[in-house]
Amino acid sequence: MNKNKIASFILIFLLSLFILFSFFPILIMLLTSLKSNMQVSLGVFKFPSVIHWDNYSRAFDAVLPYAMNSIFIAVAAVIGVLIASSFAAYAFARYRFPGREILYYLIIALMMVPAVLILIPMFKLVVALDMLNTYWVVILPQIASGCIIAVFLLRSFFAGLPEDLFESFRIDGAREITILTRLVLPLSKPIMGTIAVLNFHSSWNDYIWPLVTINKNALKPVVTGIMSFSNDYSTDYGPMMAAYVLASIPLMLVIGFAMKYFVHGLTSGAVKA
Amino acid sequence: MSQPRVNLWKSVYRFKHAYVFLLPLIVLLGLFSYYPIVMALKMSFYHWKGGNEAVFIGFDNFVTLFKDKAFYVSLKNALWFILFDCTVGVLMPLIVAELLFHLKSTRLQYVYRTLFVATITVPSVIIILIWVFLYNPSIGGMNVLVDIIGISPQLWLGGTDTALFSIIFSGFPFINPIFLLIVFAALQAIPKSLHEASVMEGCGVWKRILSIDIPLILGQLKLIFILGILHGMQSFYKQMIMTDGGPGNETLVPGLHMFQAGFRHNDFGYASTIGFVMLILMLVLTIVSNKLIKTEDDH
Repeated sequence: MNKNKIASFILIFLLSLFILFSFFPILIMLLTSLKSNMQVSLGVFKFPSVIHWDNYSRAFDAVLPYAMNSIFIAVAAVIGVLIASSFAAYAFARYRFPGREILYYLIIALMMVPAVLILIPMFKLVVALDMLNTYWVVILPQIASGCIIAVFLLRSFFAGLPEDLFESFRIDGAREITILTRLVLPLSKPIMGTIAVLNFHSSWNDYIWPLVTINKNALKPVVTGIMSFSNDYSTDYGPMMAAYVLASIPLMLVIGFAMKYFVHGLTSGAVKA
Repeated sequence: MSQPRVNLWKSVYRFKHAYVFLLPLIVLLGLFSYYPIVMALKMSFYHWKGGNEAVFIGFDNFVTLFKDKAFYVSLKNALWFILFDCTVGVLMPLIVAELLFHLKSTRLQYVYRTLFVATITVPSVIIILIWVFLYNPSIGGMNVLVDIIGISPQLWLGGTDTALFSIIFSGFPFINPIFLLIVFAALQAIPKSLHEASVMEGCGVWKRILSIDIPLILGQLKLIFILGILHGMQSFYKQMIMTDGGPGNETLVPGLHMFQAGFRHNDFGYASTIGFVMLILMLVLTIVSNKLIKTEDDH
């Protein structure tokens, strides 16, 4: 009994240590965001005697427009991915149409194609389409790349739905689109939730592509916007870190609300090697 | 004679719904995936610089690339990132997943899993910017920390000897939460009877991990290993933000070399060639590691 207690104590100690390490940069960010420059120079790891909340008010006005851009882009990308991938995955899972296998493997093969390879031709393409400095230049490629894994996940989920359900709808004379919206989509809320969170996260984190395609300040998403902010405030560490915190909050909220879907969705065998 | 063709059209017509459902995806992928891939491969064989017309030059870009010293330096640097991603990057999620798996309380398991996942709520670019701050030689905290263990102050990202290591270390503690969830799910999928049997046989924890757990989750470990190779080979935003490849070419990686060729020197043909060679290297590395690591599902 005693031996078991010691073992679980060691487990909890080690796990807590790893959690602490994982949060190390985040804790530094939170701590520094409350300091004046003077206090930062006294020591990064010291607690400030006076807390400077005004760093946040200074950062807020700068971050808000970027954050709104990112929210718009991420929401549009998530909706686009969910619509395009669920329609396509449904077609792959439920119809035996000519060319099904080839098309499916052509799409899945895209998982192997490195993002760097297509960076430059895609840039040339959006220049030719006159899409630079618009929201769409970021949204559309995000939908395209997000759909690849989403089609893969959704297809196996749809294929696993029992055939009887579909029959009962067909007997009632339901149209194909009705079956999809009334039967299939309500059943797939958890997996859709997982896909939505994954795509919101990757949209929020997208850096290189928006960096080269959007240089108009009013349209920049938060991750590239914050780079120009940090260049302006490069020696003003308090407001800079406060801006970093504010830039993370929408993502925290989304992942926080969807944490259950996320942790369960990814652990229930949705991702299998 | 034309009977099969008529049948094909008939069945295409019969499944018109399926094609309509696929249409949005196919248009998007055609525009933003297939077209750029074809163009990337094609443009590797063109001289295409600035606003000039692209001119076919055969293998000239490849010849230039194989003489490009910076490219070899970038490959050598990428090797360090790959090595790290494939060893520590696989080992750490495995260790933490084993620790989690041995916790008796499922509630605590959930709490810890949630906490690890919570770290991804801060965008990775911001985590990198925080490390840039920490590595600041005068004001950042790293020099204070190493002073405790008796190491003299370092230049970190600015130092020729320390820059590469500093970038690698900014992944500390190297626990990718998604990888952790994948490995943990794999451990949970191992039949309980096997673990019970190992206890009956008087099998120690280490022996059990080595002879039951690892062979049974090898598929997932292989996946993480290969993702590590692909990530180490192509990711360059860390290097771009932290050092921009410097000092000198100490932290240059192939992706960054390509980015600089394309977007700084407007040499799109040459940049496409770098991308082409990276694709081939990644394919080779993936196929080789797929062959080397044998898993149950392969048979």
